[in-house]
Amino acid sequence: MAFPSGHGFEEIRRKAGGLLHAKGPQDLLVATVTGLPILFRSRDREEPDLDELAAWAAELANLTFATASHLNSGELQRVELRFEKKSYLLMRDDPFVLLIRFPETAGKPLGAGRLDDLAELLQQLHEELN
Amino acid sequence: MHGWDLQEVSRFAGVKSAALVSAEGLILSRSGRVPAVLYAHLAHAFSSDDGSVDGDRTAEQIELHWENGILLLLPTASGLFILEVENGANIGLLRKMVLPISSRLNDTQWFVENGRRAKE
Repeated sequence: MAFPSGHGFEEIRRKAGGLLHAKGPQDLLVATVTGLPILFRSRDREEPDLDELAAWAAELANLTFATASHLNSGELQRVELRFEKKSYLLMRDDPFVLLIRFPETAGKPLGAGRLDDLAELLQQLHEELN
Repeated sequence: MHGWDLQEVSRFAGVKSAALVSAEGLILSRSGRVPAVLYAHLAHAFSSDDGSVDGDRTAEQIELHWENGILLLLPTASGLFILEVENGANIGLLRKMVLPISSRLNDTQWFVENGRRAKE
């Protein structure tokens, strides 16, 4: 997988890696809303099928955020999904979607401070890729 | 009709409204203000393969977070429970309270018959 490169992008990768800690997020993926992987960091040795994961994240983001727009409840900020063994946090900031995977041992996914970190990460990605 | 079950759910702390929607997107019961089309849309999305990842498993719980509240989706054997809840509501507790209601609904002949009628 050929991700974007350059000094600014490496800095973003380093920050993304800093969000992964022992009891917190396991994987962090940024993809485009069309399902193209842009950035991936993991504290697992095994990497998932990124194309598949990015496609799923984009599909789910498009579905939920488009559906939510009918609610007139303001802007949908994030989606959290809990499966039997893992949970996910999904954010969308066009043209990006950000997906975080948590291990089953994680409790409540992320506090406000970490959510701000993620928003900042996406903002830097916008600036770098522009 | 088992509207009282939904009334029961809607009285839980932090719940603004509640709905139970079939896998086909038919609204089986509701309480309070519910955007019916949206609920049906979500039910369909999360009752099919579209809502699954990591193999064929379906999510146990989906939360859509807004600044002013959360839409909590709980797929169950009876259908999809959709709850509009306030920020800060105890979602873990709500889930524990809703799931037994789902089991009760699923066990009743009433639900089977009315669910079938709704589909027809």
